[in-house]
Amino acid sequence: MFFFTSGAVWLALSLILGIIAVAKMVSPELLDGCPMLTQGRVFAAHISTLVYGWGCQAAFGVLIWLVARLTRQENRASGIVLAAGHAWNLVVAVGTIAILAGYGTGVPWMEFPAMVWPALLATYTLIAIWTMIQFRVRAAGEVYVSQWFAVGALIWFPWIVATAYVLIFLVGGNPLMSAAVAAWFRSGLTYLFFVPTAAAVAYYLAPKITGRPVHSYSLSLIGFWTLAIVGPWAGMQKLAGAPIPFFLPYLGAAAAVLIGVPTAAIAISTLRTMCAAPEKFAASPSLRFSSAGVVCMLLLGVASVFTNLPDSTLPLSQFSITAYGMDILAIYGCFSFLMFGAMYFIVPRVTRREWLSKRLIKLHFLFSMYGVITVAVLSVLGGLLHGQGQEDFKFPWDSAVARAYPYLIATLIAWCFVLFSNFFFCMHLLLMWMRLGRRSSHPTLLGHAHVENPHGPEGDIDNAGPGSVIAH
Amino acid sequence: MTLRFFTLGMTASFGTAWLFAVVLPFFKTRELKPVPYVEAIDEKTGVYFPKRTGQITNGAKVYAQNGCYVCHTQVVRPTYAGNDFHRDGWAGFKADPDRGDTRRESNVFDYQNEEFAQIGLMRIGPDLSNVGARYAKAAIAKNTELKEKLGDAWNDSMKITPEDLLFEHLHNPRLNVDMRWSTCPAVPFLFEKPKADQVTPAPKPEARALVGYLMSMKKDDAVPASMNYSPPKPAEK
Repeated sequence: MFFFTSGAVWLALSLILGIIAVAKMVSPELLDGCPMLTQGRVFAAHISTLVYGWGCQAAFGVLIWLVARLTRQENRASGIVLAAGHAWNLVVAVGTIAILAGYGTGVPWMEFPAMVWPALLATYTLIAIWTMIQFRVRAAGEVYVSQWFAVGALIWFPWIVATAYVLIFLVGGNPLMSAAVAAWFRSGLTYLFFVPTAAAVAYYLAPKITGRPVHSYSLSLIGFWTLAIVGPWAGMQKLAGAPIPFFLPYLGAAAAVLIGVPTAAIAISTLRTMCAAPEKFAASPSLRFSSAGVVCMLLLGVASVFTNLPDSTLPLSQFSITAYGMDILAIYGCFSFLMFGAMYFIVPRVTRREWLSKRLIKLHFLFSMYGVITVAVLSVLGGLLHGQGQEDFKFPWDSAVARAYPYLIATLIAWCFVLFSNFFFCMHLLLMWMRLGRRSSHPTLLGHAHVENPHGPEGDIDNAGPGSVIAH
Repeated sequence: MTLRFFTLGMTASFGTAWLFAVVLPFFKTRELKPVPYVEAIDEKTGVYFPKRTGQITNGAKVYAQNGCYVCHTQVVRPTYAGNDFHRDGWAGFKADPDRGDTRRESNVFDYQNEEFAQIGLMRIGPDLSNVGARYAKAAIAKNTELKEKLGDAWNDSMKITPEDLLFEHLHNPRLNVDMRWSTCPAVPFLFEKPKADQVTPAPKPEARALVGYLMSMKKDDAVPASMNYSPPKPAEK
């Protein structure tokens, strides 16, 4: 719960920074002269808080809860995990302030100063180790699909971060290979941490809420192993044409195209599971958010195929605003929507209170969905046009920049929508955190009130659970 | 799926890519090796191992800390990967008055003395591989124009250096009328407080380092034929 609320606050902060960053791309005079808020620093802080403040914390919270649930054990070290969570927050805060104060490293997605990374890895170990032990000592039995992805994400994350940290900051090599490793790191974090965490949630929520088994076990198996095999090769296509060994960027491009396979497999099997119970689909907020997240995952896979074709689209997407659109589609579209879905499911179970208002949930969904689809679609497609302008060497450079301009304005407006929606989410979540949720046996559903309710008439209940003695 | 199979599969699938696409290439490319000239083609002997001068380390740090890499790239891709080569001034000049066609793509020596090659994320602004060369050319053009305009009133103290133009750009990218469309953020905090009637105030050491770094970007020297993937066509030679 702590991870969720602090994650949500970071998300709001990141969105504000994102809005400033994009606004400055559109009208550079804005907030001019304040060194803390120069465009490059704000953009770095925006991405860093989005990834480490919101993304990682939401993921940790969900992964800890999922593994505990699925191994049917209580987390035995919640004190340590909470303390480590506070430490994580502190470290991210220090890193963000350092970026804004001008101590960033200039390594994309690793802008936090070099000394921050060992601290992050150490706190991660404290957060994750108990969950791994829990998985190891679980009562023998079926390992659910959801668990493969959850454990996979927990293993890949430190491996990727530690590799990038050691190679770039400790060992130091050819500057170009450092850049290549950083590109691989960005893609690895996206496809081997955010996407599998999202998949773990989808594979948990879909069968749980609909009450149907996961559609096609073998398709899920294909989804997992293709992701595991293809994912680690992707990333270096961002350096196509740079003087590094020729095979690296093109292997990266091939892998990025093949990412379409696991995302499609995961998306199809979870969507089929969700569609098995259409009536739940309409009512459950978790399902609504997670289905949107899965659709975004599908879009991400398709976009990854169509923006990384080395002969046609890779030169266009490599240095255009497409890259930003893909990051947002992955982190905000696919990943965050599944995290919201999970939170709408988990938080009532942890706090033993129901969500306060279905209108707030609906507002959150509507504005977030509208915003993120606008940002992602416009940046990805607009980026291709931007790229085309860059390639048209017969026209002056400003015409290429002018092509990106309207898309940047639209992105700015859409970010404002997303911020607006997350303001409500953050507030709602904080109220729940303060245990101000509805004490009711009725989950907050999005359907209409006149639907026959299996829980009987609405009323306050004693939430001590079954077996508690009724007063009088 | 047993735990054993899971663990082995995870290690094998990730480990292979990790080893062959990340760790091995990283250590294999750590040392820069000089490239020998082939006498028959290059018409000279010896090795190609250029040295870079300027405040590279400090300047690159200022470049990184202020996030210039978000909107500017530093790579000229070969023609199989993009059209950077043909854009005027990006890869060098097609008709340099002294040296003819100086265009070439980026090579591994271009990033010497940097800790991290700032390939960049997006091209909201132009590529900077040859920004030093472009500003040098612009300064010459400006001086010639001024000289013609002033005639006898011209003296050498009025000469504009490429560094002056870069400082001007950093302090206010939209000062130049031709660049009014620019969305480049200004970095006035790298400059001292302006005195009266001063358009571009005195730069701080950080700005000097940054400009030194930018002026070192003249990546258009002649390279051995063995590493030149876009040699001038025979007709142009």
